[in-house]
Amino acid sequence: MDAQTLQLAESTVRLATPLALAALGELVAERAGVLNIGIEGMMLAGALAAYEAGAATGSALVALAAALLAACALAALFALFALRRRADPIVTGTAVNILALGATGSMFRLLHPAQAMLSSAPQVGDVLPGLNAFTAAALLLAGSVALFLRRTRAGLSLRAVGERAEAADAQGLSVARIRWAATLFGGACAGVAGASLVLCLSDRFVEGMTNGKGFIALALVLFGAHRAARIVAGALLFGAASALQFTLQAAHVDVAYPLLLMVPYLLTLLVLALFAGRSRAPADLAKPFHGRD
Amino acid sequence: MTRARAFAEPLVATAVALALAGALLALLGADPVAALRALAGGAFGDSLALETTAVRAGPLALLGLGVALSFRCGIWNIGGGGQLAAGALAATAFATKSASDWPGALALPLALLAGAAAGALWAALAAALRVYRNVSEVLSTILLNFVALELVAWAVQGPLQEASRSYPQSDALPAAARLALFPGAHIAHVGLLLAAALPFAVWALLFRTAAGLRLRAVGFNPDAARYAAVSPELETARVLVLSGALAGLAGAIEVCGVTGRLFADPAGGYGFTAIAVALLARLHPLGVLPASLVFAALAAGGGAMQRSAAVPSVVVQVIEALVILFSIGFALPRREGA
Amino acid sequence: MPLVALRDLYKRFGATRALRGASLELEPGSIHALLGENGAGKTTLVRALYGQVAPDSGEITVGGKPVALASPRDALELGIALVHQHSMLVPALTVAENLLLGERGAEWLPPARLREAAREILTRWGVSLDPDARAESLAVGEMQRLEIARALSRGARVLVLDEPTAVLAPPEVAELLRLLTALRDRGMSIVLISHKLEEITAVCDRVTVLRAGETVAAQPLAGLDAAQLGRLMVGDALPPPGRPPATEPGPVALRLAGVRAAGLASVDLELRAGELVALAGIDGNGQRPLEELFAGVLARESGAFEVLRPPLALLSADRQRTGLVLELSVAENLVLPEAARGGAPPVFRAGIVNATELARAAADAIARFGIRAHAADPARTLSGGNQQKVCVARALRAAPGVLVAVNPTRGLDVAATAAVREELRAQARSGTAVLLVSTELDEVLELGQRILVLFRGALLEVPAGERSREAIGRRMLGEGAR
Repeated sequence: MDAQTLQLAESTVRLATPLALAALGELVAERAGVLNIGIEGMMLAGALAAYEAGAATGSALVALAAALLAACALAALFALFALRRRADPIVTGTAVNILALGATGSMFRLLHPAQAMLSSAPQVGDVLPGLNAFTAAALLLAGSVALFLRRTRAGLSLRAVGERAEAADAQGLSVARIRWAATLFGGACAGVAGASLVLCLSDRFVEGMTNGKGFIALALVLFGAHRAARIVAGALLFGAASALQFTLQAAHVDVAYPLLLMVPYLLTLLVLALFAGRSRAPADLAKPFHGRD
Repeated sequence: MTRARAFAEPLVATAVALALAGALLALLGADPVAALRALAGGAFGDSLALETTAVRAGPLALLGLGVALSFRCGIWNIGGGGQLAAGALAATAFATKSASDWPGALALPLALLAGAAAGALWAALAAALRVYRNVSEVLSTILLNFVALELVAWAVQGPLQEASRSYPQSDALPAAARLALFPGAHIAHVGLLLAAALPFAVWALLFRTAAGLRLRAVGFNPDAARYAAVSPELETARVLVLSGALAGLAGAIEVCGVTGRLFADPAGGYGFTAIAVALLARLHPLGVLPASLVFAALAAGGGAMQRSAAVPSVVVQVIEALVILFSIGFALPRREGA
Repeated sequence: MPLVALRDLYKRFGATRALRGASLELEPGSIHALLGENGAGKTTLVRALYGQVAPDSGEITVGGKPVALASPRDALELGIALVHQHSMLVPALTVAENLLLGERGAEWLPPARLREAAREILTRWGVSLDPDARAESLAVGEMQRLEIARALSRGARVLVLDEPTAVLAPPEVAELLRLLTALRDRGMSIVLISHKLEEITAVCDRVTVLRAGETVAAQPLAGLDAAQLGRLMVGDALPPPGRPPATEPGPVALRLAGVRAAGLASVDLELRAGELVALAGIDGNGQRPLEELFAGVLARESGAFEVLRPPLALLSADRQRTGLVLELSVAENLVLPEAARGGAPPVFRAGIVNATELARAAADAIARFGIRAHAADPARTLSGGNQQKVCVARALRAAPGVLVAVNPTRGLDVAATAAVREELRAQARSGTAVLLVSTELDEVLELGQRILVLFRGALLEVPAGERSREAIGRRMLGEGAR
């Protein structure tokens, strides 16, 4: 394999990682019946938290912890309104995204006035030659999620809640508790995905840097028909498309820059058009559960 | 739901949102009181401030109307920003490239029409994906926002770029395609009349026509609607296209009335703010008018707040999000539920 | 001391008072009937026992000790199991997964172990089902047996069954009652909710009667006959069962010939003007596809479907899901089908609503059908009976030549039931072709001049001389099918 192809493969995997992480977390949430379109905002919050904590302490571990905290806080907010108050999950998710956009923007500008020099966040290295720690985490996550859903009692309970919450409730399961846990888990994964943006893909925060990756992750869940392995495959597809886009830019190919930037979104639309209809979402997805009374 | 409660809840939601945002600011070391004062001044302080608020309320009202209509029908049109951009693009393309081919009096109406048509088309893409490929409009409209943004960026750096080729913007629109200002005004343009009148038209459509009854039925219960020989697919596609047209019209009005030329990102944050507007208005077409003024005031004041109190204007987005959350968390716009 | 006692429960849902002093006392080794007409509060009462409803006041004791049941988990731990009226299985999961759902045990549960555990339960309780079959592929009778097996495997001492026989054919009913008797003899305390008086008198030892949320009788069953039970249930003598209308059929109004579609094997049917034909059958044998066919929602794969005396009006089975739009007003629901076609005078003019005409149309319907509501009330605020009357009013507005009514009296109280049935007879007498599709055998016998049975998506004619419950019941299970 020549150097250029090797680099393309490497970029593909690196760009696929945050998508896979976020999509796998959302997979668990959706299998429990929770549709969380706010993962875009949770990723962004994770990215900012990781950057600020990382740049301040120099520790990638602290950065990661901060990302988890920030993303889970937003996830809890989402759960409070969408699950507890039974507000519409699409609107709630949109509100979370707007909140994250505004809050991260405000905080970033207040913390770094004008054009002051931005320090770098600590970078996370490889765990095996060629295998970055985040990528390893994503692969581990994919395997664990698949095992969890298919081979554990808790996984069965979660699937039941997503397919028919009232039946699960009638068997003594706590729908609220399972959905909250699934939502927080999804948020945590989105937070880690966001952290990877500043600890691996780049080394600093830019306002709005997620740029729709959260929505692409949502599309990946559909593309992957709510199955872990296919989601990873989809993430690689998108990683390749993005990598190709950068390669074309670098090679000064004569296509206008904005048109190249459109590629990931057009690809997502294409993928949705081809695969969305075939995916069978959990029957009780996005339906609020009215427990007692 | 009593009348009093219908008015009180949005007020409470806004007040709580402002309070929380103030707390956030205090936490980050900024002065919330000074910020609020600057905000108020920027929104209502003098006649120019009032005009700024009014001018920003125009597109918000039209976009908010589109969002309210679609949400009522169970369609999550989050693509207002992209549809507005498409409209701005079409209006500019027409006005700068073809307007001279038409009699002068037609230039403006055609530009506005081009904008509405482009917005409708942009929304129709999402509608088609939904009807024919079962793609959720939540994702497709959001993705199309990004695509529209890049499309405009490409246009103002490419085919529509101004003659000297130095800046990412279009040529200035010819005078025939410009919306006149009100006599004595600095920036308030007559397009605002359209923005003020359309909510009434939409109200009449929703509550006084067969078409409106069909739309509302589909929004509440698509299964029952289908059994009554109403086609949910058709109605949801129609409403999506209509809300796209409203957004596209807003985009055309922006270039014809406010900016006078096309810049990158004509929608700014309008698309998301419109959602807050629609929810604050409790999805009622007439409520969109006061709600758009509230958010326009926030946006107009936000700029002043950034300049004089050194508080980043993106705080306004935080307030928007909080308004949305409190509107939906403690009140119910439309469907069955808690 | 009773095993389980519910004393004086009160419960409100918004403006509706579901329970107003309801009590129930259960002994071990008995089959206790909980009797009451639709809307009397039977389901609410047992849901309170199962921890799914929190009573506003009143006491629940188990073994003499007061308990607070916060969720079904608490009830299950106390040995109380409820088999709901509508199947509470998860359709997309397998038999094995449904069986083990909610059971405590080792976390690691690979497919092999799951199947093994399921097989053990199935054999122990004599239920022969494939553990890997998806729950949605089961027949309703099988689903019920599965749920009962599940309840028993959790060590239930109290088994509550909510209207279990509604979905069964007469032979299956007999089998279920035999099972319950066997369980009773082993010491189990069983509660059988029903409004079918013959079943109750067949196996139950005690009866508690609920009327309008209140316990009006709680006593041994010995000595009570069906008529007395009926009077306790309704507070008055039950209306005598009606008879099919006496009409002469006219020309053919509806013809289905060899109609094939998803869920319909091959339907042949000719319905004449003035005829009232009843289709009996166990739920799940094609009622829903047939309804969807008439609604224009299901695509026909082959065969001819002709409405020779249009229009065709449909009273769908689920008035809340496919019948009415609950958030719209009574008036708006009434004219929705017209709005679908763009709106016709006098209510609509060029697509715009004429408010006076709309009000008049609504007032007419309210008066004619005795709907207890205002024209502007959201349909959601009406009682079940009044909602159904709005559906009837709407169907009849179009002056249909063919009227199809699917389970038109489901969930309605005795008075509303009688009113709807009489309206169907009246329609037949006035020359409309009426097709009744009902899973309620009594209703079929009361209304059908001609009776057919729907089995696996095809129709079987019941000869005039065999109009007995037994004969029809056997056909409902497939006897005589090709």
